[in-house]
Amino acid sequence: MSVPAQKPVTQQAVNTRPVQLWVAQILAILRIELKKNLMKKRNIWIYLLAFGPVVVIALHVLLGSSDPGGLSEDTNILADIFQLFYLRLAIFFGCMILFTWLYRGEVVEKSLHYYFLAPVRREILIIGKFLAGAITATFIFGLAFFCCFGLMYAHYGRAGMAFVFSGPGLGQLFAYLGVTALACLGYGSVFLALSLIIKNPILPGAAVLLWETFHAVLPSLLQKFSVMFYLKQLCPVSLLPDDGLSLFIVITEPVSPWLAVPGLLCLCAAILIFACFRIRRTEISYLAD
Amino acid sequence: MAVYKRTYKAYRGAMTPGWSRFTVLSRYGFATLFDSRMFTAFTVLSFVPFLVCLVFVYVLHSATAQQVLHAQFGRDPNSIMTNYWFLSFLGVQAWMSFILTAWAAPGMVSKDFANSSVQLYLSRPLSRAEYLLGKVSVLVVLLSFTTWIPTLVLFLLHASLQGHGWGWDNLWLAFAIIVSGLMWIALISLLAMALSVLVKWRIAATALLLAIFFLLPGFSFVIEAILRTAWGSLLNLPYVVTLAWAQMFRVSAPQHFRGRFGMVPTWSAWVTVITVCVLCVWLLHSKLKAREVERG
Amino acid sequence: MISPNNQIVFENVSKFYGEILGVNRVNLSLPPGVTSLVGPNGSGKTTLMNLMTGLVQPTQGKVSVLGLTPDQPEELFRYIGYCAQFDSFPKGVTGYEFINSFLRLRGLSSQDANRLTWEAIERVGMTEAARRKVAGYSKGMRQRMRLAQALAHHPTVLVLDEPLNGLDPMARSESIALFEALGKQGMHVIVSSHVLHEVDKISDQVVLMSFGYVVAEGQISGVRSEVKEHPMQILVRCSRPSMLASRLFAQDHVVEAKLHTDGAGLLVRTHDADSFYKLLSQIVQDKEDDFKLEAVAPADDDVNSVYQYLIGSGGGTV
Repeated sequence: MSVPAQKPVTQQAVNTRPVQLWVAQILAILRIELKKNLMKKRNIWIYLLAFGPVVVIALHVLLGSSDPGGLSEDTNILADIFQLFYLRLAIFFGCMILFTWLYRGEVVEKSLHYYFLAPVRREILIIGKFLAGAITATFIFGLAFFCCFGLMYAHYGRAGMAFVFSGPGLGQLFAYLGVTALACLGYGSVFLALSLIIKNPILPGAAVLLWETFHAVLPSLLQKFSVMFYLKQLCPVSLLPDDGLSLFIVITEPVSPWLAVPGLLCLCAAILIFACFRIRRTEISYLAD
Repeated sequence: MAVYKRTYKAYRGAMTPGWSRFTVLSRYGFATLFDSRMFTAFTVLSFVPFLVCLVFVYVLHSATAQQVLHAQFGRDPNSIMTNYWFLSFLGVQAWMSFILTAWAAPGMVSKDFANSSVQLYLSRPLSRAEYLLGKVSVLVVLLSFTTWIPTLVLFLLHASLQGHGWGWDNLWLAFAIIVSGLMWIALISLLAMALSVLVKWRIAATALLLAIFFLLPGFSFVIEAILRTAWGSLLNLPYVVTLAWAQMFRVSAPQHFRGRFGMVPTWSAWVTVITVCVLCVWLLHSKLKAREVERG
Repeated sequence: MISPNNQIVFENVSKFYGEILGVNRVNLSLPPGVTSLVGPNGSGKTTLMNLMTGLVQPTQGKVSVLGLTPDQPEELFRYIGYCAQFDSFPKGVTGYEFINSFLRLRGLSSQDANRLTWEAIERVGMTEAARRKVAGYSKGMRQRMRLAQALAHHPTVLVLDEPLNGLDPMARSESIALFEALGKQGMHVIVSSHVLHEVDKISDQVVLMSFGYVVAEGQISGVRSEVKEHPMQILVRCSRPSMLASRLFAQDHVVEAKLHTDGAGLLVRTHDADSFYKLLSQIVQDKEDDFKLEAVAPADDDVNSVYQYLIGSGGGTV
């Protein structure tokens, strides 16, 4: 082992302005985390979750349907799939796996201390990790739904093309992708914060799932604390109420998209601020999870 | 010349018999679970519906109690205490037991993997099957006390209060309660154990268990809607189990089970349950091994 | 003169993990050089290191490193390199990626990070294995790679928790030489180790710990002289040890004088080393005795002896 003289080599980074430094650090965190999130074998579950419906629709296209429903019926089915499968379940569980792993995974792999020992504010670390999770989730689920959408309407040939490019199709697609991104941000922040507080955030996560599923039967004030409340209103195609729940639904005044989007982003920011406070007091303790 | 002082003496005392050795794991398993106050509180909570129903059955048969409580349940308790009533009670308890399993089971095995203690256990005179038996027995006992045992107690209470050979005439119902309960316990215990052994991380195992019971029904809906078939519902385990139970309890399946594309036959529900259990046993057999693989 | 900003300071620091004591009422001021933390398992060495690096927070008191507190991570961690006890790495990384990614996190450009990564890897002799996945490394290789990561950014304070664990004898001596050289360059090198004779050779000062308390601190000879209840052991190599022994027995402060097995030396135990040295110089000057002195050296002012005296076997295993 050789012993070269010690010089303060990282001084140049100190001399840069804080904002520049924070951006550089967030980019470095994104580089590490995105590679982990997108390439790791462990995350195959998320890909399966997201692309399962794509495979089913591809099968439907390849095998041909014995009961072609028509454009409007398939538009409704797609809306059903988006709201009942993607929004309520797949994105929820996907974010649960992804965002829980962002922090808890480091604890399980006993590698969190490497981050804590870097000259990075812990708040920057949380923001970087959150952004990496949000980008990954939005990319995977957005791409998956884009494929569903494409396959669904490609099936109809010219009529499908006309629906997408001359009709409401393209607008619907953008709305769906926007809602996907918002859902990833909303659920992501919830699970990141939960993973900072609780060792096994899955059971509280199940409680969140119940809250989100049954939010429609809650009093209107409480409904506003649900991510689904805002997202549902941003979906381009409305669903008929669930048979089992329709009797108990509490009708709440709808919120305009101009309020729903900032409302959701505020909720997400509030949770992230809490997470930042929390991480500042976090200590390294690698007890078996 | 060398002098060796042989002071070490191997243990020659009494040993626990081999057949009951797995109970050591069970004992420690129970102790660990009930160390958690939250878990203990939830276990107690899961008995609340039973206690309420116990009182209800008593009141149903007691005119005096009904008078005191100003309650009117009609003349014939049998019109309320139907097989559908017992099925509903078992259903509620089954969901309670599911939460208990999701809470307790993943930690039992995955913690052993995380702390590399599976190797320690299996280097003792304890086979893989006994190790698993030790862990599963905790769940079986716990879940039995929250599912079929309370339902059976209610059945016996009703039978004893009803008299006139009601119990004997409805012995099939007792059989249905026990078999349905055990089927549910086998399904969720094996699933929870297999998933824990597969992912070896408590949090992921809990998430997967929840995903199988909540997310797969969503995916089954996608299959049904896109492929226009009822067979997708075989991925919906709660649906499949309810279908099998409905047959056991001799009631018709709930109305909303008959979707746009009809309902799968009951035999397919049984085949699904058995297939899932066999798959879990296979997973446990192939993954529960005392070895560690380092990959470069 | 050492300014307070050049020291690692613990001011009345206590750390409790629930009801379990980590360290209690620690007051320390560590100057540059090699400092060894010595104590049995569970004595609080790692807690002290974790407190220093902000991985755990004190229940009470204040810790500052070079005048900076863990609340200022952007400043503090430019100067600290910590090779923690955890033999763990982010999953799936190569040795190079491991060091490089965390250098990039420091805000360094790709070029600088690359240069520093290779420099650190070369320093620990891991160049050939650097592109291989860490999961395939031996324990010693993993230890070296973690050491490289702690050193890569040229820290001023290097904190090493059991850095010699898993290293083969060659790598051990190389590492010890490295720590010593870094200490001589004016760095703070804080080492915890169970191999007392190895750290003894390079330590400028020691901190002895037991059950969460600092039992002794300072230069090892100074610490030894403070341990009054155990007589000092001094080995004298001379021509007439029996004559010396007879002269010594007349002194009150000498507890024991034992002839060396080769007949050319004497092991003396005394309560008053200064008086002993005075007497010895008189004997040497006294021409009548025909006494030839070859060497005089303290036999128990090393870390091991001090450890035995202050902590002993009751302290745990070393």
